[in-house]
Amino acid sequence: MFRRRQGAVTAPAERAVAEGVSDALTLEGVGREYRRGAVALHPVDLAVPRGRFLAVMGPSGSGKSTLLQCAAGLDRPTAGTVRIGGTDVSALSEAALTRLRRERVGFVFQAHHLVPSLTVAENVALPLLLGGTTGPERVRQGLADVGLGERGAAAPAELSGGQCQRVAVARALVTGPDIVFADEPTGSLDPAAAHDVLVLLRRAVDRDGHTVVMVTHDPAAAAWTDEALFLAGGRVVGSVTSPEVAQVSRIMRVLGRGEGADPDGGGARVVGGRHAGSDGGRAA
Amino acid sequence: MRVTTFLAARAARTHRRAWAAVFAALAVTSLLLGALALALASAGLGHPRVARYAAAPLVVAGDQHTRFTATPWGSRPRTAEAGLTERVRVPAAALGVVRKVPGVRAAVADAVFPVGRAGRAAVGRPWTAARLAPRAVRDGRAPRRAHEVVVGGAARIGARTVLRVRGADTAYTVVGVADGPRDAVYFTDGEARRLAGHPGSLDAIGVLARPGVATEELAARVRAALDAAGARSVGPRADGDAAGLRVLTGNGRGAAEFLDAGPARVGLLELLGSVAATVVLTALLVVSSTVVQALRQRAGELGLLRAVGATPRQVRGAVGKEVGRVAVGAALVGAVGAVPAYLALRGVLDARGALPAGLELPLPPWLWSAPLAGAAVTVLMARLAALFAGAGAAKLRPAEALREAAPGTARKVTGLVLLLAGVSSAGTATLQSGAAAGAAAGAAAVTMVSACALLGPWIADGAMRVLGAPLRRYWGPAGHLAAANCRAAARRSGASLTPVVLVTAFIGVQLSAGATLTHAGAAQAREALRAGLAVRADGGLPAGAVERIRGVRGVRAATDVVPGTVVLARRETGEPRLDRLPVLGVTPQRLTRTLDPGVREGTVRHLRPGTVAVGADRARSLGLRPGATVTLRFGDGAPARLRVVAVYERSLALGDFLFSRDELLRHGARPDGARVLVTLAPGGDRTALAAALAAAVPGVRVETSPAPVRVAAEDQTLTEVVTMAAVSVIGGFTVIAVLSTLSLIAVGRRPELRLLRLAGAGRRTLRRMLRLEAAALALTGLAVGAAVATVPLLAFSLGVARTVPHLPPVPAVVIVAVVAATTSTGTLLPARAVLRGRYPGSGAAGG
Repeated sequence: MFRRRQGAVTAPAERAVAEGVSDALTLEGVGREYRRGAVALHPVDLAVPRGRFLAVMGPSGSGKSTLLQCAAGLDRPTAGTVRIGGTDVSALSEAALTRLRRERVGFVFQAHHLVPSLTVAENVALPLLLGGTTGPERVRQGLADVGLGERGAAAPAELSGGQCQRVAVARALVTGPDIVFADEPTGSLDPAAAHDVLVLLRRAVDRDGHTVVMVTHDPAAAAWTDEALFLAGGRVVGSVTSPEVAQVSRIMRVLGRGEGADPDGGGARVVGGRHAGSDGGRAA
Repeated sequence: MRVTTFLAARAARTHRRAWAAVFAALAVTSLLLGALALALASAGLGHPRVARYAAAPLVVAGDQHTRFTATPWGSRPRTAEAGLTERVRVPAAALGVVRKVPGVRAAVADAVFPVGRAGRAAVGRPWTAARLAPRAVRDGRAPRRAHEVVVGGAARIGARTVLRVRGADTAYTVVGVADGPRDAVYFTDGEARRLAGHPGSLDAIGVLARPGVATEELAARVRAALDAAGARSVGPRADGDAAGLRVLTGNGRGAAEFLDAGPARVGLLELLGSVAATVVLTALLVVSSTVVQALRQRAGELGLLRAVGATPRQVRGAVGKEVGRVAVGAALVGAVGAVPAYLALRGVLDARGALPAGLELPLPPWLWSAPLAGAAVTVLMARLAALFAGAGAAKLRPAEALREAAPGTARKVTGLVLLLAGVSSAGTATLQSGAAAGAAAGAAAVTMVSACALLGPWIADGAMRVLGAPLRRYWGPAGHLAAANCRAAARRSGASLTPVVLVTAFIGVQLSAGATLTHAGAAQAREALRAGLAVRADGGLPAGAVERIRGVRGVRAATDVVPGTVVLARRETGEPRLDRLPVLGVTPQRLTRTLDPGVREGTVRHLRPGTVAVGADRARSLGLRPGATVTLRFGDGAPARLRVVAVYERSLALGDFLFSRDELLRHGARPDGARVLVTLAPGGDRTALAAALAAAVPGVRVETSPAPVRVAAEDQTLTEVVTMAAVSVIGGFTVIAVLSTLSLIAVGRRPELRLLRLAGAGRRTLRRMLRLEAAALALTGLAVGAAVATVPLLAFSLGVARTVPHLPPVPAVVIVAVVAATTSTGTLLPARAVLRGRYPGSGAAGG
C-alpha cells in the first residue's frame, strides 16, 4: 500500500557494548510537583542496570505511576535528570524524544492496550510504522514468541484481555528497546493470563537481555522480578532483591497502613532517599 | 506522512457510528452553503429581462444610477452607487445625433406612460416603438390618426374606449389588436408624445442597425457620437454624479424597461451574502463542537499513539485526514441535496411574488456545479475543527493528554473576550436601522453563543450548583446521580449545552427582531390612520379628485397620499453611503385629521414643494430641527435642498421623510399608486358618504375600512421570504446539531450506564436520571439562550423600534417545545440499547 524503509534494529546488548554504558535507566534527583504545591514524587535517585527485571510497588497514591511516567519520558519531571541508556532525556527536542520512545523504549499499559482500528499484526508493527520503517519478519517472530502467531490478521475486539496484553508486550519488544516500562500489566487479568504475560516479560529479560521496569501492586507478580522497589507517600522507602510473595505481601500491608508503623518482622528497613539493600538472603 | 493516511483510513472505518453525527452536521452544512452558492451565482448572473427591446440591438437610455464620492480619512476617494427606480429621461436632441451615426438604419423614440383603461392600469406607448419588440397587429391595422389606438388585450375592432392619462379622460377608437402584453395601449407617435407630458425628452431610443454592421462596433460609434455631442441625461444631478447616457446592448437592454429589477438584484445579493455569513458562523460552531466531541472519546487511543512514539504532527495529520475523509463524503452528499433545496427556494419566492417580474435569474447548465464551492468550504471547516481538536490531543507529553485536564484559563479568557465582543457588537446594532440592524443583532447573538461554547464547563457547573439541591431533594437517587453526573463531567455538560443555547438564542433573536419591527410598525400605522375611508383607482384618479372630494358634504378632511422614493447620501465612519428610502407625498391641508404623523416639533401645515418633514430618529442622526436644511436626491436622481418644517414620531409607519405630493409627482412618482384618505365629519354615516364619493368622482373604488398606511421598501417581500427561509433552515440545522451532539455524547456514555446497572441501579432509576439530566439541560439551555438573546434584542428594539422586544407567544412556545423534544430524544434514545432487557450483560469483550 505504501513504501516503507527497511531499517536496522540492533539488540540491546550489542548497543550497550558499542556505547560502553552499563545502566539502562538512571534517575538523578527526579521529582514531580503539580501546580498548587501538590507533590506527587519527592526527588529520587535510582540506577537500573541492564538485564534487570525491577518491580516498583506501593499503595495507591505512592507515586509509582508518576515515577514510571517520568522515567519513560511520558511526563516532564519538575526536578532532576532522567537518562535512558546514557542519553539525557530532558535535553532532547520533542522530535528526538519521540524517536527515542519509538526506538529505544517499550511501553505496556494496563488499559488502552491496542489501537482498535488496526489488526493485531499492525498493532505490533505500530512503532515501526510510525518510524517509517518495516520489519515483517520481526513482527511475525514477535507474535510467535507471545504465542499468537496465527492471530495476526484478527481485530483487537476479537481477543480476550489476556491476549490483548500479550500483543501489547510483543509491540513493546518489536524494536528491541533498551528498556521496557510496564504500568500494572497484569492488573485486569485473571491468574492464568497474568502468568502468561509475566512469563513473556521474564523471558525477555533472561533470553534476550532486555531491561524491564514494572509497576505493580500484586505480590505474585513481584515474585517474578529480580528486585522490588517500594514507594510510599511519594518517597522511596526501601527495596528487596529476589522478592518472595509472602514477604512482599507483608511489606505492602505495612505500607498500606501508613508510614512509620512497626513492621511485623522481616522485610526491608524503612529508609528515606536512596534505595537501600535488603537485609540479605532469601527468607524461607 | 503515509502512515497518517493509513491510520486515518482504518480509524474512519472503525468509528463509523461515532462519525455519523459529524457526517449529518457536515452534510446539512454543505447543503445550505451549496444552495446559497447556487442562489448567489444565479443572482450574480441575473439581469433584467429583455422584452420590449428584443428586436433592437442597441438601446440608448438615461443613467439609472446615482453616485456619491467621499474620501475616508487617510485613504483614496471611494464611490457608492445606488440604483434609481424612477425613470431618468433622454433629451430629444439625442435622437438626431443617433440618426446621423453611420450604420444606423433607424432610431425610434420611445415614450412610456401610465394609462387607465376601464379602471385598470395599462401602459401607453407610440406604435412605432412597438416594432422594437417586435409586435405586430393580429387583427385590424396600425393607428393612423390621433384618436386611434391599438390595444394588447382582446377588444372589438371599432369599439370606443375611454382612456385616462394624467387625470384627464379622453375617448379613443380601437382600430387593431396587437400581440404581446395585454395591458399595452399603442397610440400614434404624435399623440403619444403629447400624452407622455415630457416635452423635449424621451424615455429611451431604440436603434436598428443596417445589415452587416456588428452590434459592438455600432455601439462604440453611437457612444462616441453621443459623447462628442455632450449629450447627458435630462434633469439636474447632484455634484459628482455626472449622468451621461447609456448605450445598452445584449442582456443590458432590459435595464431600460424594468427599472426595479437592477436594484432588486443588488438587494438580493446583499441579503444572500449576509445569510451566507450567518450560516458559515453557525456551521463553524456546530461542526467544531461535534468534531471535538467525537475526538474526545478517542483520547485514550490518541494518548496511546503518542506513548508508542507518534509525533504530535503525525497525530494531528492522522486526525485531520480522518476528519477529511468523513467530510468529503458528507460534503458531496450535501452538494447533491443543494440542488432541490435551491429549486424549492425559487418555488417559494415565485409563489409569494417576491421577485420582481422583470428580473431574470438564469440557470445555465454549468451553474449546477456551484454547490461544489459550498462542499469545498464545508471540508475546509471540518479540517479547521480537526486542527483545533487535534491540537489538544497532540499535546507535548502523552501523560498530560491522557489526564482529563480541567479546562484552562486560556479557554476562560477567550470565552470572556468573545462575550464582550458580542455585547459591544450588539451595541452597534443601535446605530443601524432596519434589516442591517437585524443582521447585526443576529451576528452579535452568534458571537455570544460562541462565547458560551467556550465557557460551557463553567456555565454547566454554575447551573448545577443552582439545580443540584432541588434535584437531590425531590427526586431521590435518580436526582443524586443526575446532579453528580453533570457536575463531574463539566466539559461534557458544557459541550451538550452549546447547541441548545444556539437554538434558543438564534431562533429567539431572529423571530423576535422581525416580530418587534412588524409589531411596532403596525402599531404606529394604526395610530396614525384617522381616516375612515379611502378612495383609489387602478387607472389613476382623475385630476382634481381631492378638491372634488373635499367639496362633498360630510367630508371633514381628505388627503392625497402618493408613494415615492428618495436617495439619501451620508457618510458612515467616513465611507460614502447611499440609502434608497421609501417615502410618502401628501397634501398638507388638515393632514393630522386623516393621517397623523405625530408631529413633535414644527408644523406640517406649510408642507409644500421645497420643504420636508423628517422622522424623529432620522432627524436625530442627521442633526436636523425645523428651519434646518437637508440635501436629498429624488427617485430620478435630481438633487434638492429642502427646508425642514416639522419633526414627527411615527417614522416606522410613514417613512423617514414626508413630502408635499406635488413635489414627488414632479420627480417621477407614479400617480396610479395614489390614495385619497377621507375622514367623516362627526356624526356622519359611512356608507352614505361612500356612495356620495363614488358619485362625485366617477370610476373609483371606495374602501370603507382602509388598510393602515405603511411605507414598504420595494424588496420588502423578498427580504421577508428569504429571511424566513433562512431562519427556518438554520433553525432546523441547529436542531440537527442538538440531536447529533447529544446522541454522540450518549453513545459514549453507554459503558458508564452499563456499569451503573451492574452496580445495582434499576432501569427505572436510570431512565429517571436520564430524564432529569435532559430536563436540567433543557432548562439551563433555555435560560442561558434567553439571556444571550436578550442583549442584542434589547439593543435592537430600543434602537430601532423604541420599544421592548416583542416575542409573539406562539413562536415562544414552539421554541420551548422543540428544545424539550430534542434534548429528551437525544439523551434517551441512544441509551435505550443499554436499558433494554432484564439482563445487563457484560458489554463488549476487552472493553
